[in-house]
Amino acid sequence: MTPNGPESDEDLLLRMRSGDEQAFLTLYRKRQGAIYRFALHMSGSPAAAEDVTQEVFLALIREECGYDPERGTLSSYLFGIARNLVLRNLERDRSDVPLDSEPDSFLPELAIAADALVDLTRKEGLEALRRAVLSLPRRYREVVILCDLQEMDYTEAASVVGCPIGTVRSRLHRARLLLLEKLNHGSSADPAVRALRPARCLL
Amino acid sequence: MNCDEFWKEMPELGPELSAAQMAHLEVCRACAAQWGGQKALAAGLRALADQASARTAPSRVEARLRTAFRGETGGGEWKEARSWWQPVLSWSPAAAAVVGLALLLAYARRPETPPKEAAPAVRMAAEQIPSLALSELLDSDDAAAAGSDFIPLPYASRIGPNDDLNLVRVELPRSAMAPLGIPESAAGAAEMVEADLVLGPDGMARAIRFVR
Repeated sequence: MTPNGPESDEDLLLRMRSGDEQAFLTLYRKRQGAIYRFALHMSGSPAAAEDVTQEVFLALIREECGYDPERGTLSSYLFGIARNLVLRNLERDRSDVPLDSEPDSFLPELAIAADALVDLTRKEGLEALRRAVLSLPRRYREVVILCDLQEMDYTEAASVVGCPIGTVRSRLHRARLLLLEKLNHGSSADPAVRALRPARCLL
Repeated sequence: MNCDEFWKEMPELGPELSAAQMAHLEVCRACAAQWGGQKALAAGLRALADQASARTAPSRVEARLRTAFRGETGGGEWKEARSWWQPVLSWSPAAAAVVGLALLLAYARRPETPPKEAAPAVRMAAEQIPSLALSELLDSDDAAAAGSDFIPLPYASRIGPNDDLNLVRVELPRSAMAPLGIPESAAGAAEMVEADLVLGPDGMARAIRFVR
């Protein structure tokens, strides 16, 4: 802690590189939560999230990947490593659900009551939403997690994902439609909720 | 504004609706329903983020990383020294393999050590003399006739015209001269004398010459 406030990530990294353990621990405690939660939402597995978090900071210790401040923040850099590790794990486990190829499919366990959207903030609704996020295709899942759950701005999310900002926005838009579709599917009691697909009108 | 125009601007990603967008929602039931769904979804995602906000990596991760950090840094001097030695250490197995190969080749090219010919008392008296051409030595059957000092050893193989020979100087008891027909007094039998041995390509002795 400096007299002017908390030290920046870059300053902590600099001190850490010179062997300052306290600087490393400060940096770790500052960033590990977000990295862990990102990996947890992406994988759905606390064990995998733990491994990813550890690997991210080990990479930082070992200087395996060169961090370049010109290319983005340290936070984006750490998220980028975490993303690569998570994707590698997912690829290995092949746990993805190819919803894109089956647009009308849905996971039965995701079907919740007709007033699901109203109850999304309740416990059951949150659980359904968590599973719906987890079942999204990876490219949509990661932008929802980064922008909606981690509250990252589009610029930083684009830096993490490695694509233009416009792509992040369109993926996020598509991801939300998919989430609504998943959450509404099966709740046939309320036709108004089922009629969420955009209807053409001339107004 | 129609539905396509309304959703094209991705209002769910913006901070708030414009007047035109709000006007569209008032007249379009489908878009209003979907917009309501988007609002509910946004609230749900916020709640999900809040619910997960307390989750962090277990403390054992920090403990492991702290150990790894200490192992990786281990003090500035060590790191500096290690950075100097690292290339050397990384190349050392290759260097050892090259040296080993060189030694193996050198050993393979060495002539075989000749077996001891006489009594255990015989020992090498001088270094090996480089191989000599056959013409410089003798034809084992005609050594005496050719005026050579070399005496063919009994039961030794004949030397071929193209055989490579080695000449080795040894010391042996004077008593060893008797089986070759050289008279020797019993008094000096234990005395050591020098002799040159002609060794064939198989390392076996073929002839001997006593050094005067």
